[in-house]
Amino acid sequence: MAGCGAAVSRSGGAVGRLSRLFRLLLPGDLGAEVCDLLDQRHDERRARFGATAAWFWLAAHLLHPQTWVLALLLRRRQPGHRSGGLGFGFSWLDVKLGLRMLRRNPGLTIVAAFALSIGIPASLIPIHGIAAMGAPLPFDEADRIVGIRNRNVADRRVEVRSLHDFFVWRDELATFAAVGATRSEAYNVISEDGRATPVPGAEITASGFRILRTPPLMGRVLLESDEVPGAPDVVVLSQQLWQSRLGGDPDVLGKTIGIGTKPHEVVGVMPEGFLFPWHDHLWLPIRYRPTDFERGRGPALTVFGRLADGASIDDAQLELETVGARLASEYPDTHGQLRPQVMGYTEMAWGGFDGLDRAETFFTQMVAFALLMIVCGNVGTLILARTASRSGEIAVRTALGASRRRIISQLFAEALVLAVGSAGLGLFLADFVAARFQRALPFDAFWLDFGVKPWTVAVALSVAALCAVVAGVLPALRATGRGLGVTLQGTAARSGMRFGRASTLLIVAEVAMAVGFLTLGGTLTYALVENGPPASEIDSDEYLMVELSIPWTDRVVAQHGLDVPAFLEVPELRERLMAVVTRLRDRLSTEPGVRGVAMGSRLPEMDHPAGRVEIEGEDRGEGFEGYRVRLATVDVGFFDGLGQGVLNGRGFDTRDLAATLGPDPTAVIVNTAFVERVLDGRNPIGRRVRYVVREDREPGPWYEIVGVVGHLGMNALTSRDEGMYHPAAPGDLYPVWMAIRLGEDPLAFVSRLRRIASEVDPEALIRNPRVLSDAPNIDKTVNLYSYMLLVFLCGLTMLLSGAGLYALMSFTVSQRTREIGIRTALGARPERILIAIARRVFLQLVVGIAVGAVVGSVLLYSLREANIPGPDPALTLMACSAFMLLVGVLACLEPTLRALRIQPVVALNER
Amino acid sequence: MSLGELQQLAMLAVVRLGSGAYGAAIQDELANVASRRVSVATVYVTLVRLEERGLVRSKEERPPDGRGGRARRVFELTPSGWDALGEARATAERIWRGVVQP
Repeated sequence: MAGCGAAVSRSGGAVGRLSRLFRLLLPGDLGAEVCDLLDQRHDERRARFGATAAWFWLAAHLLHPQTWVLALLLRRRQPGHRSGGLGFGFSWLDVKLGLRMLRRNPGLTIVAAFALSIGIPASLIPIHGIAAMGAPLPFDEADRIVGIRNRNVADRRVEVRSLHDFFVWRDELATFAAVGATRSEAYNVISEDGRATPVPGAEITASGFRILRTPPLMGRVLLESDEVPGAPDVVVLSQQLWQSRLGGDPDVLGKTIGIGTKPHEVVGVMPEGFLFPWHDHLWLPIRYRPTDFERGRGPALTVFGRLADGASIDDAQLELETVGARLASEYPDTHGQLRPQVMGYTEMAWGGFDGLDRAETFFTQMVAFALLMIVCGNVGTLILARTASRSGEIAVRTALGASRRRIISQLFAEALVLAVGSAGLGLFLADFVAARFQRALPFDAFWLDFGVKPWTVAVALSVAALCAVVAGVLPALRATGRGLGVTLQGTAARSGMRFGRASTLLIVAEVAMAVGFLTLGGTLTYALVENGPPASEIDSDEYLMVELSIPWTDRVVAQHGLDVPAFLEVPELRERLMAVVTRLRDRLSTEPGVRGVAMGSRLPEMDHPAGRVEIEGEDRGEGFEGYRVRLATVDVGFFDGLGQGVLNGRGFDTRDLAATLGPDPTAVIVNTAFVERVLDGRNPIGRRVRYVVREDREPGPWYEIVGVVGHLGMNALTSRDEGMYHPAAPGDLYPVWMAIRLGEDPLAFVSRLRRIASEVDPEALIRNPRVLSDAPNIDKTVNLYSYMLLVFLCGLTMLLSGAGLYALMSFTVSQRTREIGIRTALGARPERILIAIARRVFLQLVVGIAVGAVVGSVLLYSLREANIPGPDPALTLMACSAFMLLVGVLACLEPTLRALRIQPVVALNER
Repeated sequence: MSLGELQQLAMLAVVRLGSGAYGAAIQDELANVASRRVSVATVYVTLVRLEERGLVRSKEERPPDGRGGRARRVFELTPSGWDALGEARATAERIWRGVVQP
């Protein structure tokens, strides 16, 4: 084989091994020719991209479904090929035999199927995720639609305020057929009865519709004439919004709907599925002009375009850089550090992948495959043990004329049945999980679909075939090796098969990992159960929580080019927000059924930010970093709104608000946990606290503690919920979280609340309505998923290590059946036999536990450093080690009992 | 006899390349002329399938004396292949007739 052989001799090592695999896979002259060509292409790639990239390119071809199709086709062409076979020398009979063997060994089947059905889909997550996020938009010639953005090379951030640049790009770039801009926002759609519903929508240029090339279902799209300031207010609706809000009215064109404060004439309806740019349901014309803003100011825009015929993305980048260089020299203050970039639209939507991201993705994918190979190695260990018990059968078949290749094919077929079945089951589960994951994402893109695709199935099947090679062929090569003749003679105490060093290491590593995970899991469970958060003192099922905000359409914001925290620095907005909050609170106070309203930057049960404070007059010495406390800023009626009286001292009042605006110390309220842990139970009233800052900074003001409240759900994770509340005036919070006490079925009040809010200010948005007990809590969610992952990993490593130990013991017993029989016949006591056969297994178990205990100690030390409380470390390690020992002993129980039950007569007559 | 798009392209590449129609050249022709970047395996799967249907045939061509390298398989269209290609073209022309691109 000149071609692939050449690769072996040239590069040897990894490339050589791959080439040999290809040669095995692709038989005949044509197969050799394909190997030659792959070799040639590999060399070309190595010269251009380096040896590693070229190796992975070659490896990817091994997983390519078409490679396997070609392998089947070439095998069919081979002389002596039996019709009705499946290629590779195996037939449906092998598949049937494989299924029968899986049925006969349910334990092995369940463990291996469990491991592979998780391992195979999990190994595809990186490649699948990247492909789903980079899927083309569902538009005509979508690969010609690109995004344009400015990147600040000084701080490596994307500069989104590019209104001035948009007009330059639109007018000057010849490599683009059209350039458009868009900006997503939420708008209140007001129905005829005054009901307001927040709907995601977008301002978009008329050119945007030309770029996307999607004709409207009815009416027209937006036109340049709509963008002229003073033109009639018009809107284009999505098909879904047209159906849901206007009942699919066929005469909708020309009618008006209220959006925020103004009525808008409906001029068009887009077809189903058109939700550009993210998941938007209405489109308004963009009417910003560069003259309205200073350069570098203005709204945050997404700029996109369609490449002109014949222009490539590289041409566009080149032209863009020329324009960018000119702007940088003309406006060094605003553009000196900006570099324009052009890239695929979806690539830009996800923040853009640069070289590092690609490398990370590639690395993640390789790690995922490496982990899968470990799982395969484990399954291979199980299969090797099972194969050992069949060594007699294999020897007899060999004696009857079966070639080594034939026997390997059958064992491969069995592993393939297992791997393909597991991959199918895994993909089914993965599709289900993907749908749930997508729903849980905090963003939604209309082109995004994480579901299983046909290509995913094809790649998963290729990976399954690779797993079958690792888990089936390697043990089969060992099982059909040199010791086979000895086995047939049946004279030796053992057959020639051995449990290799790799299998031994694998089992030791798994036992160690299981002990490590068990230690971690046990400690965290203790922390959760014994040291969980104290029960909140409010009945959170009675409250409706919502987020109140004002849409970012206000030109004042755009003019200032502000970020969210600076929103309140604009006096007009602050006053407007204050008016909305005050009037809304007044309206709600007279609303029947409303028993209280609390407003704050955070509500009970949500995740609260933390800060570090010190107490006046306390000197804690060097290295003291302050007390970590949870923080919230609340309006003066917050505690009354939650039905919580102040336990000590007084509540907030308007005097405190006046103080916040002046230089005098301001008031804070702390909770009982603060009093217990920070002040050691001393009277807090009148004491002063301030935030700990870095030594090179000026310390902030002192705050005086004026009152104490109970536990109000400031920390969802542990009992450490020491907290401090600052008072705020109605316009000082943005966005505002509101908790409205209603009693039963709080969600029923949402539509009424929206109506009241729209009467107060038609643009006020009421979003994210939930029952307070279901409040979004990132701490809690992250913790829950991390904990679930830990439990899962703990279970998986325990299962795999237990299965490995079982396999080793089972293997030993089957190998030494005759020896045990002879020993028993010679009068050996059961305990002597037990020691003889269990010595190696026990040694691996003990070594694994010892390594695991060291790993566990390190983990426990880290937990202690992170202030996570747990039981006594020595006791934890002993308990976890004992538990793993028990699992190991239980795993070995069945084969051990089997060994002790061996009757000498039966053992000696066997085979 | 219906042909897939890639099959048609591969057959046309075979015709265009004439006596030089072997796997590597066909892959390059598909990439350079038809802008279809397909894997090595895909090219050979297509050719093997066409050969099984009797639309192309292949013969082994040894390199000229004195030059190293292994023999490679050169493909050419069979009469049935020419018929199928002609039929595909006629079908395309029939369906295009009367269509005016806006």
